[in-house]
Amino acid sequence: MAKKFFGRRFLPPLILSGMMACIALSAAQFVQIVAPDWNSAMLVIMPVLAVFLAHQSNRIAHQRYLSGTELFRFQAIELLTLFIVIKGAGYLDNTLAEIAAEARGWEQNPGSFFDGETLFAVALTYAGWLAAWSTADDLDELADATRYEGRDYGRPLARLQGKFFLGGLCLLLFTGLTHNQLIETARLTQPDLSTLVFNVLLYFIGGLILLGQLRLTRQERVWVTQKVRLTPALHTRWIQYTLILLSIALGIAFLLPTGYTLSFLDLVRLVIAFLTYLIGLLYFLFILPFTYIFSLLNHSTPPAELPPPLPQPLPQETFPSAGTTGNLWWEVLRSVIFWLIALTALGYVLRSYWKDHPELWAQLQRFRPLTLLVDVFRGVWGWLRQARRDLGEQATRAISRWRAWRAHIPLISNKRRPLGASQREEVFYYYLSTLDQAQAAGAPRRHNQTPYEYRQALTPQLPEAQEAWTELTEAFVTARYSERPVDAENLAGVRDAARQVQAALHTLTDEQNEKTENAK
Amino acid sequence: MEYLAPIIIGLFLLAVFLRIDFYFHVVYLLAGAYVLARLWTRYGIQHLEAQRRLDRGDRAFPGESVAVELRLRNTGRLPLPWVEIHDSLPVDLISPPFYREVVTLKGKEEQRFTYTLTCYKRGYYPLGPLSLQTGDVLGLAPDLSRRSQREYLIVYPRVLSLEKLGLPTHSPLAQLPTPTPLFEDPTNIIGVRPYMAGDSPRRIHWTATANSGQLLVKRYRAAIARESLVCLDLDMNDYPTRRIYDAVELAIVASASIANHVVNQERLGVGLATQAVDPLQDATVQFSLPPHRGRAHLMNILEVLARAQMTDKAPQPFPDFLRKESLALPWGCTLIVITGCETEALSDALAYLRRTGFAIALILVMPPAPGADTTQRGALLNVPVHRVWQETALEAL
Repeated sequence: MAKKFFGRRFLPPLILSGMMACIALSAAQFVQIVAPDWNSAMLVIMPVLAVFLAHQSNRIAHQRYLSGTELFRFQAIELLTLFIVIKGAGYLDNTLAEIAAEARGWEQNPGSFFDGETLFAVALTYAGWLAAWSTADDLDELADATRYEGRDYGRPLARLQGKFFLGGLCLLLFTGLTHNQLIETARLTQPDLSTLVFNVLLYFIGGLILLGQLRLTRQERVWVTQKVRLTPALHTRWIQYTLILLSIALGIAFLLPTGYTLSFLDLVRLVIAFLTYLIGLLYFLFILPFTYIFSLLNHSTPPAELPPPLPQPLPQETFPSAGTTGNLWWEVLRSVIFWLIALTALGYVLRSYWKDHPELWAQLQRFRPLTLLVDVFRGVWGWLRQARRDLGEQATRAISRWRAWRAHIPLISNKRRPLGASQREEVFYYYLSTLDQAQAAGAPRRHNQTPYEYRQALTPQLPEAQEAWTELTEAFVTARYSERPVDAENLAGVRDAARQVQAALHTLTDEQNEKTENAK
Repeated sequence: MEYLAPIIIGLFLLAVFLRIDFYFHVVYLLAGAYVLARLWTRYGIQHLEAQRRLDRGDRAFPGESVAVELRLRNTGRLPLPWVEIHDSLPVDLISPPFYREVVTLKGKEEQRFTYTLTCYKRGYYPLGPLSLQTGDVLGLAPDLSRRSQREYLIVYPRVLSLEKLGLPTHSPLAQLPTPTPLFEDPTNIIGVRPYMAGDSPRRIHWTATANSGQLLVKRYRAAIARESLVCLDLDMNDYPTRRIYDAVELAIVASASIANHVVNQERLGVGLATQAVDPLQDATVQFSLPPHRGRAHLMNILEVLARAQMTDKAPQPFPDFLRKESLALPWGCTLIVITGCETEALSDALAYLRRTGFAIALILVMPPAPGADTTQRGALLNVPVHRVWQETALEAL
């Protein structure tokens, strides 16, 4: 109960305050560069305080059932108090005489009361306060199953997610500006960069943990409304698994490369240049012997065609600029790895998004050129897949022939497996080729044996391939004596089973040969 | 989280254009969480197995309780943060008509859940489908679900003693012309007919089957048969509108009780013929179970009676159906006709059957006693007429 109380009452404001601290810290770092005499500590402390305050005030307002004018007055007083505190905090390092002198200046120039430092701090604090207040409202709505019954469960969660990403955008904006300012003024050091990265990642990790808890709250609310029984271990495991997931994601974020020297277009240009060079080189090597032979045949006359010129090496402008340090090829490799990983991850994300939103495709189908492009892509993709499959099959056949040849076993006649054989005929082929190998291993099938009888007879000799042997026999009997269609999936299974059995038969053959030699 | 993918892509493009390296950490963090969440959820749902077990098998009698055990097993190594189990159940067996629970499973963990179904009335009840839903902890990937196939529980109709139904206990409810227990002469084949469930394999005419490509059984010349066929009328137009439900249920109970009595008490063969809605096929079908002895055959009859529902779209009027069914019966067989009303067409059909050599017993399931005309007509045809509408039987429903 105490855990639940802590989870509901204190955990969200604590995480929110932490996230606000991250944004405020990045703003303060930026301010330190732009206006070094501003009080950056105040810029961090006040928004964090405002977030915590807004959360507690929101709770009090709900407890007192404040609404309308009363609520407005309550909020106005709090915001005014915050303004006074900010203004007062700005004078903490001033003497009383300085404060009095400045106060006298307000009468002559009222605008000086609102100086830039105060306005920036107030804007940041008020933004934090308002965000925290509306977040508290959303959290209440998300958790309270009775007050908001009948409404869309997902809306408060969607609003909270929106705020999380908006805050993240602000944070990235401040951090990016700080980063660029530091680069421009050549003041970027490793500790500065680490602080920036740590700050940003802390915000997003905190936000994702909070989103995980919000997801649990929402799901729990749905389940409680539907009177579904919940297991007691759910809360504990939920937070455990959230932390595990985020730890792995964080590990990935740190392990994957972030730096690159070649832009994507440069890289594409480099790859095209490399491929052109490679094709040229191959053409040169291919044509060279023919040119030599022709030159020998026509030795009386000078050769009509000279050997083709060697392809030009890769142009220097395709490589990273000379300003980069370190090994040139290492830089290229690093860029290639970076783009490969980044584009793969991005491709997966895009594909997943596309799959989850089929309505997008329906809308895009109205755009004819795109559908034509997709059709062309599908055609090429299908052709490539077919080619890969054909090549794979050819390779498998070649490997099995080579194995048979190596084991000195008579090759299986091609008559049994004509080119373009149906899938049913292929099953026959695998079974009959296995029978041939069994015969070579000294365990032939007798004419009066049914496939099942032969299976029983051969099984003791193939202890390690019993299941595969049974599967192969079953597949043969089904293909031979029933009209059940043989599909590609079945065929793949039969092929694997045949391979296993044939491998076992090879071993058996070797053992037989050894025994024969020993006997001799 | 619907917009996470566009946000990741946007952030990536921002990082590329601004060339700020550490933005990629954020992209990787979000993309990593997104990809991991999706893969985890997909892996989880693929490695989730559920099994339903009924302690008494898939058959029960009214009044019995059936304990159902659900076994949920995570066959994968990764844990599942949450799994929502939803088992849809018939409202006639349990209230509320579902079983729902949310659990969390570690890798390779198995959990068992139990609930009890109470069988109040006959029927063919679908159990399930059992739906399993799971998702990730952050809500980044869409929730995935899978459904298992439905299973069925058959609750047999109530079987009462014939005294409770107000029927005479001497069987087969009609006077037989001769007590000679001759049924069929296996040396005298008079033709073939299509194979029906329950036919002995010995009766199969293999030559005719091979010629026609259809499984055919021999028809022997009948001597006097002491077999009975319960012909049950389940056409809703043949029952009183006011208490149609009670009447139909009582007709089914009467059929089941008579079949039970004939098999268990008289040790004779009994069959069933009816036109009813079969929930298994979701259509009106004609059930024809030829007369046979034995408990196994009785259970077949009870199974059909368990799932038969009244129909308003019978393929044939009941009198025509009786005529058709009589064609496959041996001479001297007893037809126990159970219906809700006695019409002129039915009287004609009964007269025809009586003349053909069948013994007939008419059982009327209706609140008022049969009129004098009906009784007179029955006496004229030598057809005993009985009425089933006893309070004891109705209470038992």
